[in-house]
Amino acid sequence: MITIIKIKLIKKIQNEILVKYNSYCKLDNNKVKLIIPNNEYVDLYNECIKIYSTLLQDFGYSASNVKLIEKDQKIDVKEATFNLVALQDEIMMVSANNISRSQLGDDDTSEEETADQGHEESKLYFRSPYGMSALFSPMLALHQYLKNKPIIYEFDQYVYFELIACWPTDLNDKYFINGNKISSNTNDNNRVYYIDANPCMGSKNEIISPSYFKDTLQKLVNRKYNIPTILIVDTTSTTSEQLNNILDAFDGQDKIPLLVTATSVLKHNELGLDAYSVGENKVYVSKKTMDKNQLDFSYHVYIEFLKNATRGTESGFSRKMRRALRKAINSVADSENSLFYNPDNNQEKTERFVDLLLANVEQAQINMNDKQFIDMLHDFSIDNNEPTIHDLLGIYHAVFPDAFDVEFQKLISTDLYKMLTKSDFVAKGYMILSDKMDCQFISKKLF
Amino acid sequence: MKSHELRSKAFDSLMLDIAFSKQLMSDLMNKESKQSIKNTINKKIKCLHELEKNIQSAMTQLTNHQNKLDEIVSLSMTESNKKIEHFNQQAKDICDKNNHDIDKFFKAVSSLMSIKATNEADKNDMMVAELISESEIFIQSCYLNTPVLTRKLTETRVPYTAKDLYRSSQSSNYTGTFYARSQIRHSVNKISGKFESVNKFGDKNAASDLIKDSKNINASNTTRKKYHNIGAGNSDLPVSDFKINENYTSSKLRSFSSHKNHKKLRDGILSHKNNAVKKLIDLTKDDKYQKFLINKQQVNAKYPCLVILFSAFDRKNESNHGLKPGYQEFATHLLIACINQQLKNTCGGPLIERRESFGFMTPTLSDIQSGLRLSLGLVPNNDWLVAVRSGIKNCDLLLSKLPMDFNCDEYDSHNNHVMMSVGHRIMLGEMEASKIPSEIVDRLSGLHSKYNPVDYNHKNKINKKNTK
Repeated sequence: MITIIKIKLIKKIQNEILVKYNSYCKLDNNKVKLIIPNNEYVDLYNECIKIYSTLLQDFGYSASNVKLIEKDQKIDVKEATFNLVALQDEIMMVSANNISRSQLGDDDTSEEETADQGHEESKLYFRSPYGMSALFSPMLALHQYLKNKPIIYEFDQYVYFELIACWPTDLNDKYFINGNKISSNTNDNNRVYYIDANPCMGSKNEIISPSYFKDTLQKLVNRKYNIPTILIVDTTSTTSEQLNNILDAFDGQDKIPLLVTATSVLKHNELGLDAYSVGENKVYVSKKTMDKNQLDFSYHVYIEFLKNATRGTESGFSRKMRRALRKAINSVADSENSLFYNPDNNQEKTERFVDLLLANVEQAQINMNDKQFIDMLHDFSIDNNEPTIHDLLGIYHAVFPDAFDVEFQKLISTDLYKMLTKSDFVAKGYMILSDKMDCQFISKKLF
Repeated sequence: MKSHELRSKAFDSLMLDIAFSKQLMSDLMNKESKQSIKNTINKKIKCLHELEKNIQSAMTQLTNHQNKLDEIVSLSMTESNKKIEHFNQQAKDICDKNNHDIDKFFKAVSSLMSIKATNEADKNDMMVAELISESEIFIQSCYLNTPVLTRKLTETRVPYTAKDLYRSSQSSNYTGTFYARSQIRHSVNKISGKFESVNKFGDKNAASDLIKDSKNINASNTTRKKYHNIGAGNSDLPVSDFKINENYTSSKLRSFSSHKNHKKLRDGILSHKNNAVKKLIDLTKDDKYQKFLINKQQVNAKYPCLVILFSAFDRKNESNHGLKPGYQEFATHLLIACINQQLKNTCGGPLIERRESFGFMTPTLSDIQSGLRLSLGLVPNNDWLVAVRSGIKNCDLLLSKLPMDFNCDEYDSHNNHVMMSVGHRIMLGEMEASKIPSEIVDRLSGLHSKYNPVDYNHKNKINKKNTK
């Protein structure tokens, strides 16, 4: 009887709560709060919005409502976040319909990458379906590499809680032994050590120093026995600067030959899309061990084993989605008003051209004593990203029609030279010139 | 109705329209006396002539195409029939699996494949349209020029927008149940499922050998859901018969293989979040909490979330770690309500959501057994952080005022959401009259006294009595 009354009561309370909850939700719904956000917020927000909309365009859809926000202006943040989330949802809807039906032809998981400078690394990402599998696969690869020799795994103090909670109970003791529980003094190569680069501090009175990774690494290296062969680092929330510091510390020692990073891509890599789950591994070799050539451990073979362990495990959906996202990011970053636009490449070109131009002017023995003109040309070409090298050549041709000598032709490509001779191209050069410079000044120089 | 008949009809109507407008123009011409207007009308009539010519030439081309099309169709009828049969069979299979209507499926396919087939067009026409793409595209472009047909075409598109869905989920009238999370978080089944799905980790037998209880794998195998985004070829939709969007071929996607920009953006977002965490900890430096505890050392970890610990939590204490069951859930929802109230009063957003995992562009909050984890999204300005801080303060106050010891086990696990939503309710009380009204406190404490003390043995005894 009591239980029945209980349930009735609960239902009654539940309904009351629902009603109250609704009124709570309605509170302040009509009031619009306008605030001025940080510049950093504006930059990142706009970048994300642009990336989302280009991603949608790549899928063949146009985003229904794309609004960029401006700096130092009052905005409705609630609306802005709503737009952001709505775009994310739209991408998910569209991608779920588009990608899942597209061909899932290629089988390879890993793809060639350009290496970061200064560190010996595998140049390959090894991808598996989860962050957890990324943590597991380096150990499994070692297990297979050592011909099914049991592996001893050891956890750091602040390692991801799911490992501590599950692996000791789930994994078979025949093959994987919890190193924190057994005491052995050996120096075999069947030991791995798990460490989190950015640990979640889940208990009281925990102390952590800024040089946390360095210190633990030093402790490991100073051991007499039980030095791990592989250091598996959870880099889910690690910035590339932090990773570089970690690798610098790792390169400074020669006891531990390998470092494998494990990243859960779902967290920070996909701009909150929550679209796909992938675990990424990357292998780094300690420089000192490479230099000393003391490896009794062929890391090339190990990498092959890791490749085998993870090959074909990434889902077709996540592969396509990952690439599409990267493409969108790259195409947005190449545009000029992007947050990460790097004009260095273009500047290099223009600077090189201006140098070339001035050198050629001297060769042609044209009267170019007027420093003002040179400076203006210099400023004009560098400060404005608009005119390309072609435009500049056009200007040059317009100003100095006789200056194209043979050596100059050698310096520039023949196709470009052909283009230069076209009349409309020259006209374009004039137009740019007349837009940017004083007309009288040009007329003096030209005629 | 066949497609070419439609086409000829549309053509006739267009020509009629043009003739009609010409007639109108000439009438105007006769009536009008001003020379300037006459000139403009003349120009328009000329334009109409040109249009007529263009359409006629297009039509002749079209008929040529149609003839070719017919030839091809008649030649490859057997072949196309086979394909159509195959197509239909596949569609039926899918529909049987998913209990969808065949019509719906075709509509979805036609819209997604961007085959601009008409509403009346039968399946054969659709297949033909796929077979001969280039010429058909030209024809379709002519289709689109006729006003009547375009309307029909737009109707065939699947009328969904994600935004609408989102809006409806955000609507103020909340009729569903509150989000209830299962208490057993990391069961063996779940983890073994993770291993199992990684079937390439050795062959399946070897993979199951790595885990202690291989029986569990089989159990999880049968019950595990299929997600569209997990596992290659997991989708029930047909794969190879459809063309891919041109932008979407892997070779094109691969050509943008540089990771530099992606890394930069990731670093930018991460450092933005880390800075915000630093500021938050600086803000809460001198605050004294009764139920919470914020470890200032976490700045050094550079973890992009703020971890708020329960001061009562004791890891060594094995039974519930010194907290009442369900306390974490309750505190999560209460904290969200407190912070969101402050945010609504000051900046308006972004509001915090209850969610597992972390690292999104909007702030989320979940519990980690020993405490709460506030994952930050994009932080608009300092006011936002100040609001969050005062929300934490309020929540701490409310938790310390709480007259009863919550015990989630009092209810069945299905009713957990009631416990969670009480947080909102207390919140409401506070909003209505700066203090918690005595009514609510009384009711809650009454609720508590009625079922207190919760005695498992007592419960069992009752059940036993009932069964007897």
